[in-house]
Amino acid sequence: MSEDPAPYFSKDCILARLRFSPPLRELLASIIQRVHAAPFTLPTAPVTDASAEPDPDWQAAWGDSLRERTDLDTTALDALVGDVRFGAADLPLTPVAAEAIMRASVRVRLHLRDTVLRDLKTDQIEGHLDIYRLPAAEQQGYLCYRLLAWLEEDLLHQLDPGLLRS
Amino acid sequence: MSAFTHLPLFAGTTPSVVPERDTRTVPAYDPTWNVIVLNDDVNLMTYVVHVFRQVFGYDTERARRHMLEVHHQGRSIVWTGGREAAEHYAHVLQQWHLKVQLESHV
Repeated sequence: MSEDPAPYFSKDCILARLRFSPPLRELLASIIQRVHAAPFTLPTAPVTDASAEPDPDWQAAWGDSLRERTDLDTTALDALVGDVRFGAADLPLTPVAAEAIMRASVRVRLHLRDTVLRDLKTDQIEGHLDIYRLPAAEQQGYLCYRLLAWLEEDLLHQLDPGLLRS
Repeated sequence: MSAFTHLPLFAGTTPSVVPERDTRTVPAYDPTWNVIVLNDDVNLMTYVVHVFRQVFGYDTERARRHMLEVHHQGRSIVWTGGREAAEHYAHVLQQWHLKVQLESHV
């Protein structure tokens, strides 16, 4: 009687499984650190009652809650990118951590888009460009941007396999 | 209870003290509110579908329909209902870094 081999990871385990060279991981880590150190404007609460005076306490609570979530997500992404095995081996993540990493990754990409990549057109940011024609800072920012997008996509397809069929 | 803490999607991540809204400004009628997601050129299409599935519990087909509406028309009304729930959903969508608007719909 044959038996299925025991799975190495539980079915709920997500893997960070991208492969890239160590210098690229170091570049990614340095850019992410720079982004996290830069001022980041959180979105404000959408106005639901234009006739009323803005409620500063409520707005502040809204922002504090967003900041708390963003900080937690950032910690998860920092831990992943700071691991020297990232890019060289499969790293297991819980689904909760994988989602936090995705959100933090989006935050970094939004920041890059608003700063170092702000002059690129939409079709360029989506890949229709010659990266070697970009200035060095934009090249690095763009590499980081694409790498994080690949990371998000790979995590998404593991978290939500139904997306592959959509 | 705060409008954006009453659904426990991210339990334990919100501030311990959240001020109550001043309800004296609420009009006598009770309009419904549209939660609207706006387009951007950073978020992946699959990511947006995933967020709609996670946040609203939509099936893939419905989530994808809203995503495509955002992509092609610039916006999609992803949920309609009471004000507190609308604010909650707007807050959660912002946690996922989507661009969100709320509008009343009398």
